[in-house]
This record gives sequence, C-alpha cells and structure tokens, in this order.
Amino acid sequence: MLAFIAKRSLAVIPVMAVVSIVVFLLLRLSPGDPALVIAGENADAASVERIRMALGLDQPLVSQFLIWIRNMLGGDLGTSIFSKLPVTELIAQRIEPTASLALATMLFAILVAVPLGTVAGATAGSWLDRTLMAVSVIGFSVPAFVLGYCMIYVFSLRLGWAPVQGFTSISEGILPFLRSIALPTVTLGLAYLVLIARITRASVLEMMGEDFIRTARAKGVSERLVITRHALRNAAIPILTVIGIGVALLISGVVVIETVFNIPGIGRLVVDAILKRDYPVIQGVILIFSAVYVLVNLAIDIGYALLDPRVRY
Amino acid sequence: MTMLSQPVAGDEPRNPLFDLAFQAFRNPSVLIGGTIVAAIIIMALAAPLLGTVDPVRIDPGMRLKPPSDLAWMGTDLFGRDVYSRIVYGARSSLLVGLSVAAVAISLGVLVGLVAGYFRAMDIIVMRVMDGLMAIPTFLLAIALVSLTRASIGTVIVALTIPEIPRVVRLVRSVVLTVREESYVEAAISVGTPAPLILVRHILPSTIAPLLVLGTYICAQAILIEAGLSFLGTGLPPEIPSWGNMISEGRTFFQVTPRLVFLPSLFLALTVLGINLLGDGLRDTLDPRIAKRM
Repeated sequence: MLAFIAKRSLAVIPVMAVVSIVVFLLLRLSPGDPALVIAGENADAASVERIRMALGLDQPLVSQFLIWIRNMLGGDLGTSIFSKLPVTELIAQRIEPTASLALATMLFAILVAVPLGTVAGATAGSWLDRTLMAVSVIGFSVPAFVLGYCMIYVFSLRLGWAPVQGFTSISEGILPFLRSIALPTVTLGLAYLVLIARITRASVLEMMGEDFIRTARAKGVSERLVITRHALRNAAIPILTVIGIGVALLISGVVVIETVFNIPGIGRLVVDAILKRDYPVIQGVILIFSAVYVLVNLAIDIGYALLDPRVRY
Repeated sequence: MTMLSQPVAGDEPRNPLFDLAFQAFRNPSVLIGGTIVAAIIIMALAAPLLGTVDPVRIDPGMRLKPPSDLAWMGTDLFGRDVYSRIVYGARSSLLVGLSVAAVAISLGVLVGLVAGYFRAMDIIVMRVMDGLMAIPTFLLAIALVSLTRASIGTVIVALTIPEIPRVVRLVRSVVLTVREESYVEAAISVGTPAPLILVRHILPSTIAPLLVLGTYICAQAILIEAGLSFLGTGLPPEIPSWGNMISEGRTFFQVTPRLVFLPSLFLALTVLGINLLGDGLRDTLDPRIAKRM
C-alpha cells in the first residue's frame, strides 16, 4: 500500500514538470518580443529594456527556466507587471470567492448527480432515465455563460430572488453569502452534474447485470439495499474518477462564471491579466490551477486504493 | 440490429460501410443531430442568399431597435442587423469547430500511431500528453490566444493544442490493442515495413472512434471559441461570431436581453446537434468506443 502511494505520488513529478515547461514556454515562445508586447506599442526603448531585465529575458533560455523553477519551488511565482504585487499575494487575496464557489459547486453536483444517476441506472429505460439522458445532452450543449445569463434573467431580474451580480464574503453572514453564490453554483454545476450523473448511470447499470446483484436479490435483500450497498458501492471507482477529471471542467468554468456574475476571484484575476498581458499572473494562475487538478486526482487515486482492497497497481 | 445483419435470401453481399451508414441513420440521435447540423451548415453556406444584409454595416440611426419589418431580429448596439450577424456567425463557429477537429485529429493520429507502435517513444510522448492534459483546456487556450494578435488562425491553433492529447490517447489505445491481432503479426512476419503496417492495417481501426471523438472536439471547440470571444480574448470584434455578439450584448443585458439570448440559442442548438450526432454515432458504430473516451 505504501509502495503504491509513493509510486503514485512520484508520478506527479513528471506531469508537473511538463506543465511548468509548457507554462514557461508560453511566454518565451510567443512570436515577437514579449517585452515589447508587455510594454505596449507606444513604449520607448528604455522601458522595453527595463521590462526585459525585470523578466530576465536577456539571459539564455535554459538559465531563465532554471531561475524560474528555483523561484517557483521557493514559493515565488513572480510579480505582477501592473500592480507590482507578488503573484502569490494576488492569488491569496482572491482565493475565498473561487474556493467557496468551487467547493459549493462540487458539493451541489455530487449530491444531486449521484442519487439521480443511480436511480436512472437502476431503472434504465424508464421515463426518468430517458428524461435524464435527454436533459444531460442539453446540459453539455448550453455554454455556462449562456446558462448564467438565463439564470440572472429569471431569478434576479424577473423574480428578484438573488442579487444580480457580485460576491458576499462568508464573514458578512452565512445567508447573504449563500444568496450570492447560489446562482453561480447552479450554473457552474450543471455541466459537472451531467458528467457525474451519466457516469454514475452507466456504472450502476453495468453493475446491475452482475452475478453478485442476482445473489443479493436471491437471498432477499431489499431492492434499495441492493442498489445502494451492492451496485453503487461497486460502481464507485468510475464515479470518483470522473469527479476528479471533472475538476478541469470546474476550473475552466470558474474563469467564465466569475466574469458573468462579477465575482472577484482567481478566474477574474486571470482574465484581467490576459486582457492586460500580465504574463507572471497568467503563468502563476495556470500553474496553481493545474497543480490543484493534479493533486485532486492524486488524492482520488490514493483514496480508492485505501477504500477498495481490489485496487492494486 | 440483428435484423439488419442477417443476410436476406437473394440479396447481394452489401458493402459493410453502406450497412453501417444505413444503421446510423436509423438511430434517432443521429437523425435529429444530423438534421440540426445539416441545417446550420446550409445556413452558413447560403448566408448571402437568406435575405441578409451586410453583417458588419454600422448604422447609427438604427441602434438597439426592436424587431421590425426592416430587421426581424432587431438591431444591436451599433445598428447592425442581428439576424444577418447570426447567420454569418454560423460561418465563424463552424469554421473554428471543423478546423480544430480536423487539425487536432491529423496531428493526434500521427503522434498516437508513433507512440503506440514504437515502444521507445511511448513513455516520453505520453508524459508530455499527461502534462498537457493537466492544464485546464480553457486556460491553456486563452493563454495561447493572448500571446498573439487575435485572428481566426490563432484561435484555431490555440484551441487545437489542448485537444491533441485526447486524440493521441485514443489512437494509442487502439494501436496497443490492434497490434496484438494476428493479422498485424502476420504482416510483421512477412516483413511489411512499419509505416505500411500503421497505415494499411492499424489506421482503419481508428476511423470509427475518431469520427466520434471528432464530433466532440468540434462541439468543444465551438463552445470554447464562444467562451473566449465572450471574455474578449477570442475572435477579433469585427468578425461576426456568436461569442462576440453575446459579449457585446451583455453590456445592455438588462435592457435588451435578446442580444444575448438570440445568438446563445443558435450556439446551444449547434452544439446540441453535434453532440447528438456524436452520441448516436458512438452507439451505432461500435459500443466499445464509449469505453475508450
């Protein structure tokens, strides 16, 4: 078991190495002079030179990379070109709205999708199953920002149930906080929910045909227990896997949804940085988001090795 | 399905591809999705014939007009005809979606075949692909677009790169299975050169799953392009695209929500059609495909 955990954890290193090389090269391989791009078209030669020095662009590529990696490992993601604040500080300032939104969305999606998918899988072919499958295709096809505007239109502008935009910190009271993240959570959660529900349905459906289900039924276990204790439990691995993979969806969604609902989080930070070409911020956020994705999936892999004695790699 | 595969007395043996196509069109998802996609493609191709006016003509006297005889979907912030912009917007979305799918599949097949067949390359290539897949698609795409001046070409390149690993993984998994088949071993034993084996004996097995993956990539690319344009980092604003229209419309969302909703409707419908087509193809072509994706 320990050997597996060690091996799986070590596998993170090459992945993160590739991520950091890609993120590093993003800036360095862009056509044209990045210093010039950052300085803008009307900048004079001195300020272009200053930016070039500040970014270490006057040094060879490999040593630039090594410096960057060394700083990064030491927890220094660089400094924003515009606000002059360290990238780590900028991210820390913005983490609350993004983390609240992401956690609320995961909770919402899993709590709705797993029961829904289980029932659909156990009653495959029923009207509920068919409706769910039909709705799920639509869920994949409506872009999150479109859904967000529909939500705002109906629930904020027409019904007045939720604030149109903005974020209220949890420190200002739990109710205003929940009101402010309710619409973004549902909006962001839909695609994620659909993804989890479809996999849950497929894996429960597959389990329902297994011998141990027939055995359980034959010995008189109630249908509810057959489904929850036997089918769902054995279907857990693909469901957990897709929850991990779906985190990528969540991260991409956060970037757009924070703009739609005007939430001052990390997604908003990176969009603003991209519009202003603030490269250190862009690099820092991509790196952090990718690390979160890789670590969540590591935790899930280790999680099911711990929970499921059949899993041995 | 069993009915179709049973030979009917007196029937000539039919082309299996023809059979497959026939079967696919009996699937309701393929039928509905295919019809939607075909309609959008016709709309895009026939844009000038559909009673449209110049989609980029600005008319300050016609700003934010509600639907009327002159402009039946109304006009936008700059007095441009919304209907014409939506019809021409289909061109941008389809161009991006189809190009990304085509380029990602071509490159992905090349890398995937090599990685799957030549063991030495496999480890390195797959580590790179794992790394690329760890970067959220949308972020990688906006970062890539932000590096260069936005144009349709750079958007296509930026959307293609994050999709390549998915193709590579799929192709590689097919190669790994097929290369153990006896007909491939037979080809190796008679000294067929590797490139020929790859193209003649292995490539054909990847076609069906790639067709399905291609539809998903196309749908994904259209969605991401719209998302990028919505954030103001996608196609240049002068190109009529649904994402750009939604982005411009959101300033006046509370007053004229139709400027957001109309292009959104077409966007969602197009993606829905492509997804339905993909789901249907997946179910009819080969049930095992679902496991690989």
